[in-house]
Amino acid sequence: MAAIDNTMISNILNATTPTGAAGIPGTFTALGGTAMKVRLNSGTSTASAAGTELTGTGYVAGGTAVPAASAASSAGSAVTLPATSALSWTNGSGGAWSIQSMDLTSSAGTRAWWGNFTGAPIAVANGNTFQVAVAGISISLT
Amino acid sequence: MSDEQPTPDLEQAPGWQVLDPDGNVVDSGPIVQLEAVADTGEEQEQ
Repeated sequence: MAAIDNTMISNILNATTPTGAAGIPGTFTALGGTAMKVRLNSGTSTASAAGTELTGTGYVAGGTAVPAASAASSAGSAVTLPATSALSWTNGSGGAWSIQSMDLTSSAGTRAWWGNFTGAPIAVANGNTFQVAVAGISISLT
Repeated sequence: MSDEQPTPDLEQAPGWQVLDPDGNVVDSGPIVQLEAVADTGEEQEQ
């Protein structure tokens, strides 16, 4: 199943094909900003839209910034994240969380990648912690 | 003449965990593999 946002697919395609003036490569729209974020959703993400975002004490809207730079891809290798420490969210909402999917976004919320967790929906009782391990997300183009 | 070596199973490392307040693992799942392959239109069962 595809795991890349439709807008990002077009961004990559246009920047690597002769879609620019007179057949030059098109322009890549960089994500920019500060550290990228992992967003958690109670709803299912698709290539066209993120799922309904998780809410409640312990989760900050927009997601959590990754702790450090990931090792860059080389010779087509995958990129993994988070790089140096796990991402954690402790449920203090007073009720159970149901986690279905995640999105990797820019700091401004522009979506690049998305995926549904194997085993979803994941139940996180009040007081419990959901954690994405170091290298718990692996991203590749093949 | 070669001794068979077990193949490391990288998938054994959990990608995500749910921990109780004492740090005990109450649930876990595999690494999230995101691959930009073409969508065949066939939906995976959730």
